[in-house]
Amino acid sequence: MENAWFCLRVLQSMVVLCLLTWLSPGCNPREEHPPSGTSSPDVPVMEIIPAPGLENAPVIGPLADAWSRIDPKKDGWDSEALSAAVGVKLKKLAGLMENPSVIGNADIEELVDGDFKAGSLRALRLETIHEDSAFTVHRGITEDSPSDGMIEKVRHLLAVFDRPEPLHAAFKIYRIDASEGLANARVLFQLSGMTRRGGLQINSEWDTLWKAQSEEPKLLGIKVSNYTEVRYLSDGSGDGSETLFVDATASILGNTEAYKRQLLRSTDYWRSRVARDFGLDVVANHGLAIGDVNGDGLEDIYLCQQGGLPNRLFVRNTDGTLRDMTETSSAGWLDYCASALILDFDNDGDCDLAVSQDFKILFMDNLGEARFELALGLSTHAQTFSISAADFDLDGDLDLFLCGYNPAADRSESGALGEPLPYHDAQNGGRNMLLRNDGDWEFVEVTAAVGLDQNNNRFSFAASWEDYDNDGDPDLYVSNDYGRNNLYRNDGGMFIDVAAKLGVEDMSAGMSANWADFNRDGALDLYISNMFSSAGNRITYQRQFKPGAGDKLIAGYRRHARGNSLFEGRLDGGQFRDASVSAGVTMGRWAWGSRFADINNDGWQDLVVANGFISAPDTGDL
Amino acid sequence: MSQSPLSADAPRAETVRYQQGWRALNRLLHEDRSFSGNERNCAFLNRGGKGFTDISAVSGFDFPDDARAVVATDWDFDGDLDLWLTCRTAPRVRFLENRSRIAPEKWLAIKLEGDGGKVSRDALGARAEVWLEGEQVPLLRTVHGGDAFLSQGSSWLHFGLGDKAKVSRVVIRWPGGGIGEFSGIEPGGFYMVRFGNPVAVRWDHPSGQKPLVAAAQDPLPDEQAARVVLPARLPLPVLEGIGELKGPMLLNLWSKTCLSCTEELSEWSAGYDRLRSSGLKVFILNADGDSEAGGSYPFRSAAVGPSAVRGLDLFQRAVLDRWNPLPVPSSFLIDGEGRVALIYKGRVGVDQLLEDYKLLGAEPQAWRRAALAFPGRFISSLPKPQPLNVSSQLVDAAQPRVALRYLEDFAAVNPVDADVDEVIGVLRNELSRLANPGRALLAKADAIRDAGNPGAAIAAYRETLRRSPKTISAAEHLAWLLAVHPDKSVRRPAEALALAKRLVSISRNGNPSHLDLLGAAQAASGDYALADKSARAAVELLGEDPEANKVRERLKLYLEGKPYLGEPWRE
Repeated sequence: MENAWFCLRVLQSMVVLCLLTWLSPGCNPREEHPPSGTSSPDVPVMEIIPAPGLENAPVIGPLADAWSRIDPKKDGWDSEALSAAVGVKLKKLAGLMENPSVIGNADIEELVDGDFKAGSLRALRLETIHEDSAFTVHRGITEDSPSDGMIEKVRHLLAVFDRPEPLHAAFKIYRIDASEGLANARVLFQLSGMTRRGGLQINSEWDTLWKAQSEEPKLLGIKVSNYTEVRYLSDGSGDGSETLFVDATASILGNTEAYKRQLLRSTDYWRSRVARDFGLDVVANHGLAIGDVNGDGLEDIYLCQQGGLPNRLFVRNTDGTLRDMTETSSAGWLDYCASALILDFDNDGDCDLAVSQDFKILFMDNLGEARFELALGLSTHAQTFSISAADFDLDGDLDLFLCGYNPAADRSESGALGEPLPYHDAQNGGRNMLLRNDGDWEFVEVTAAVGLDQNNNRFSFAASWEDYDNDGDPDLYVSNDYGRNNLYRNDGGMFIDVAAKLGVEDMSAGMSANWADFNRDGALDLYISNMFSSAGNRITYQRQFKPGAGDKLIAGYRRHARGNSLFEGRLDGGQFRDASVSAGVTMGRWAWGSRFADINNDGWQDLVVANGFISAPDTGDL
Repeated sequence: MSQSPLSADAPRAETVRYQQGWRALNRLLHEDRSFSGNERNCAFLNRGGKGFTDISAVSGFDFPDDARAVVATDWDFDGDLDLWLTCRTAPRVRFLENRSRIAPEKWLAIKLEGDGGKVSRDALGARAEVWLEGEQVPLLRTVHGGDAFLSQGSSWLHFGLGDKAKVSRVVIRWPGGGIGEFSGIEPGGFYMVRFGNPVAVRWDHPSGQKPLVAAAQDPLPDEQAARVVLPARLPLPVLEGIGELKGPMLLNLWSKTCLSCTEELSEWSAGYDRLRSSGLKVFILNADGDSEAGGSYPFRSAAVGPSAVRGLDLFQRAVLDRWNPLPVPSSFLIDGEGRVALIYKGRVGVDQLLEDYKLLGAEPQAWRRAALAFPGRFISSLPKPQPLNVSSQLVDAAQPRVALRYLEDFAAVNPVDADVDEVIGVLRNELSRLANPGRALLAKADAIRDAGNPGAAIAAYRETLRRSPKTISAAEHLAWLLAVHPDKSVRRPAEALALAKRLVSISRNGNPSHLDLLGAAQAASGDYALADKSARAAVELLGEDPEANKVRERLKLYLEGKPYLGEPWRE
């Protein structure tokens, strides 16, 4: 995957920390359209092929300057070139591990140097550190005197997977140091697959040493640390329950045409046939809401979609399946919609809808039987992503907070990513809004009046209300892309941003915020999605990175690449403690929605992290 | 280069480079580049407060989707939390059933409801505390109305209770200060608690749940063939070798190398009479550049080269958010006003063509509906044509002249659009600057000189001459500065003299201002006799011109054996 580094020169430093997880195998625009199917003009082909002449698209005119920095060969980062070369070898090793039955000795030998020596790759002794009805976690003792024979070591590691299903192996290089023809790469390694006792996942870190005099580095040694094995205890019934979660979507939605025709198609499929005028983008931030729209006590689902495709309202049948009620609901908005809430905004006993529609917010009154009527539509100050309701003034009705991201109405100008300035602490984002519910579908903007215009110039993605200081009113955490977050303390209906004071600014690329008491001390804690960037971790530890920059600045850059954050709260609402690294929850990759959920019912809240930016068919990264 | 400026008030040039970087990246994203793609979702197990362990794979949560929102809910009422996710990739939605084999005493679910007066019906902000026997701290859950990212999860508060747990009491803290305490709540059940009601009511889920089957979803494959309706029609840019395109017509791009192309043309030929009687003209363009190739089909035909193909390609990119190369065959349905109404990528049959052709005159709302795969409603008004999407593609493809022409043609027949006019202005300026790069550099050097910074101005003039040697004015301005600047340290008489001689020779003694400059440089070098001669020649050429008086003033100084010093560019 680690071609990411070539983006370094596009937006060297800060921006790179967001972008360097770039995974495509080459961005050279000259190579962009392989002339597939046009090999012989004498033999007509049946497929649709690129029109003749488009194989050699010219270099982009005014962007040529930026393009020229995208060529890895011209990039001055030797350590990154080395990391890429090591990455190729590790990827090959992962590929071999995934098909243990066909590993040839020569395949492994090709990767290692004649002087190779290492300890065991699998722990020799295991110590149980956690056990519940679903999972057991063992810590492995890996101290071992090094010996040669990589093939035996790999076979020993793989032998524990005693069932024929394919394995999954992945490496992530997060640190690299090189000197005098040797390279030291620190690597996260995950290996998972099935055993006769159930699923097994091995997490460990490899400290690898390479002879790196040529473009073909050879492995000299491996030292394994932070070794854990996790097992999911299968009941052996073979009913598909060999993991905790199984995909059962088709059981619930499979009979609806909307599922088959709309939801089984990717965003990219629709982006290549629905005109962009309708409001589509590549990032496709579209969420969902769960709530009871027809008063039968069962939860229904409203799904947001990009422009040109209707949002979908699926109403639950008593047997747990869903039926599509979009057309009769009047809530099948065809505009670009990011998120929605199913809540009783008019306190009349049924759940209404609030839909964040790009630069508008739509309130729909529930008329009963899952039919809605537009009660109020308001313009927003910015492109709106998450919306979050609370009764901030404790008057018994629900008010609504809207996260403003891009201030420019024209996404085609600034692109789906916005144009943050400066990248690491952007202050040119869209304005958030707080709408106070005055009853009878009157909502009044009170953002400035209640103090929420403080630091209200960021690219806000998510917001989460919680009474973290236990004083009886809901406070508000706002997660911002490209910089610092906000924690607005509610003091009797007036807000003050205490994020800096309480240590939760979390200067990074915030996408999500969720509260829970994960450590059961009675105080609410906070989990925030950011971006974990292995390339960012590597680069920011190089001497070449930002020479002359102060330690504080460099620490900030490293922080941007660190990943997700976990903050422990205090009962008195005082300073939070950053537990991200010690708790081991930073590596959530390019994270979007994340939340606490006690998935094994042991009374302790676990974490699930939805991630992945843009997958295209051109890569097989990881 | 394009690193982020460290503050928002950084110099404009720095900001522009940075923005250019963003645009380049945006471009890659539109062109199917993977970017942190195929990442597997992560799950972390909380080891009883002693840290977390990555269980992404063994939990079965590690789908390589581009996932976005995630919510938890006990969908099947079996006492554990299932998950719903939305994704960018297909499938766009996943329901993950939790298959934990749990004992009935290990969980509890509570739903809170307000009275709609003191406490909102949804009871947002209310907090439930479940006190377990022997524990000093309760389990906490708060009712949220939208949190994490783009999501609202279940309103049931779900509590995992662990092994052998007994619930001693449940305390509800309502927003605004009310507190309710409930006992007799048994694990393994769903309970409803209403504000003001002293009893927690057990809720029974409906029976007859359909068994959930674990099955891989079967997303539909990507397809290249597409019928793209333009809700806001736009004309094509000028295509090299093709004249004005008068609609209604169907413009087809084909290649001999593609069987679908020739089959499509054969089908159209067979339907020739139907097409002809409908009034739809067909114009086929051979992309192989073979002007004979279309001869066997009963349609107007022409050959085009890569430039025209590229023009069509850029146009379709402007219309869509995903920028893939234009395939062959492709066809463009052009309306009576010469605007593209529909693009077909891949083959299209005669029936579809005739149906779409009939739709060309539909009302705008009906036309917009025709662009969509599913019914629904809009809050937005009808989209306006966006010619800047086309010009931006052309500019990025290094065709600024075509882009300018495109916008000028658009502006000529459409209502005034300030954004379009602004871009026209920018393109005109940029093109004239490109045509004469020295002019801009000269203006910059003059500005530096006028700001009173002669040293930097000299460097800027030299740079101008290095990059654009024919910028005569730069040589003139530089020579004057070097010859007569009042500050001795600025003056370089020898260099000024050399420049002046060169200028006089270029203008063959026929330009009085060059002769005047030569005189000033000669005087600066101490050669007053020659200075006198040059100045007289200048006066003679100037004749009645009032400039002659200024030269005569200098002439007087030369006769007194003094050089002329000053800043004549300021006068």
